[in-house]
Amino acid sequence: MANCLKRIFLMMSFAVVLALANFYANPARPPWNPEADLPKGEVHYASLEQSQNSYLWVDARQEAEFAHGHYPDAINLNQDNWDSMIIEVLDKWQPSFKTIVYCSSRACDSSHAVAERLRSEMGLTDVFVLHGGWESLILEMGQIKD
Amino acid sequence: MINNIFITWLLAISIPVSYGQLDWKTTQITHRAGALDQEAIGVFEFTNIGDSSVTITEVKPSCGCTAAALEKKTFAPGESGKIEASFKFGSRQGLQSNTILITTDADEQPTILTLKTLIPTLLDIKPGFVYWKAGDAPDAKTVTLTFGIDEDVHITEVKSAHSNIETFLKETEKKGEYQLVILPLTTDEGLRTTILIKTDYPKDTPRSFYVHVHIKE
Repeated sequence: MANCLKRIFLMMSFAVVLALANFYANPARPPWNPEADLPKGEVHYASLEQSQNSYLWVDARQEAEFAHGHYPDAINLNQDNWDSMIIEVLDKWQPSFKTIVYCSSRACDSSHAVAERLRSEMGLTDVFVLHGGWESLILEMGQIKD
Repeated sequence: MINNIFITWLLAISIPVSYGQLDWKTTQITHRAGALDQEAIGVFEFTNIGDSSVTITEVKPSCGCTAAALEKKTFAPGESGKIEASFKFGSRQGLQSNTILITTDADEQPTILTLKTLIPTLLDIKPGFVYWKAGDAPDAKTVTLTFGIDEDVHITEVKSAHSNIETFLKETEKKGEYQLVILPLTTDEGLRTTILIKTDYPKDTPRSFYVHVHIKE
C-alpha cells in the first residue's frame, strides 16, 4: 500500500514539474487575463458592462436571424443590404458613441467585415467587435427577444 | 493490475476502426472579379477515400450572400462529388472572404471551405459620411473620390439633396481622383441628408453613389 502511494506521489510530482516547465517555456500558453490576448479590435461583453460609455449596438447577421432575437436597441446592418441599412445606423450614431458589432460566432466573419467598413468607408472611430458574438450575448443575458 | 489496465487502454486506442473520409481537392479558391461582375462561383471537389459511406449532414454558408449547391448527400467509398458555391456581391468591394462549413457523419470537426473574391472598387469614397455637431463652425469638409478600375470613367453629376448643403467638385492631378468639398451654410439645426454622385460607368446602367451628411443635435 505504501509503495503504491509512493508511486502515485511520484507520478503526480512528475506531472506538476512538466506543467510548470510548459507554463514557463511555452510561448503559446493561455493568458491569465482573458482580456489581454483578445484579437485586435475585439471586446468582451463583461468589460462593456463595467464601463460608463454609451454604445451603439450593430447586429451584422441576416434579417431573419435579427428578427428572431437581438440585443436590445441593436440595429441590423449586413453587407447584403448595406446601402439601405447604413442609413439607420448613421441616424442613431452620435459622436460620443462607441460602436459594438456582433454576429453569430460560428464561422462568421461578418462582424469584422462590417466593423471594418464602418471604419474605412464611413470614417467612424471606436468601432469594436464583440468577442464570442451573439452566442456570448445569449450566455450572458439568457434568451433575448426585443 | 495497473499494468493490465494500461495495456487494455493502449489496445483500445490503437485498434483501427472503419471510417469514411472526404478528401477535398482544395478547400480554398481565390477569384478575381471583373469590373461588371455581380457574382463569383467556386467549385469544391471531393472524393470519399474511406472504406464506408459518408453523408454530408450540414452545409452552412457564412452569410446570406453565399449559396452552396450539393448534388446529393451520401457518397459511397471511392465516389466523388462537388459543392458549387456562388457568392453575390451586392455592394461589397475589395477582398471578400466567404466560408462554407461542411459537416459529415464521419468527422465531428467540420471542414471549412473558403471562397476569396477580389471585387474591384468602382468608386472609393473616403469618407462616405461627414458630420458637424449643431453649433459647430460651418467649416468645409473634403471627401476624396477615387476610381479603382482601369477604364475611361468620370463623375457626371454631384447633387446635394438639401439646400443647406453646398458642394464643390474638383479633379486632382492624380488620374481618376476627385475632391468633393462639402459646406453647410449653417449648423444651427440638426440635419440628415445625402449627396448624390453620378458616374458614366457602365454605359448601359451608370452607377450612382451617396455621401451621407449629418448635423448632429
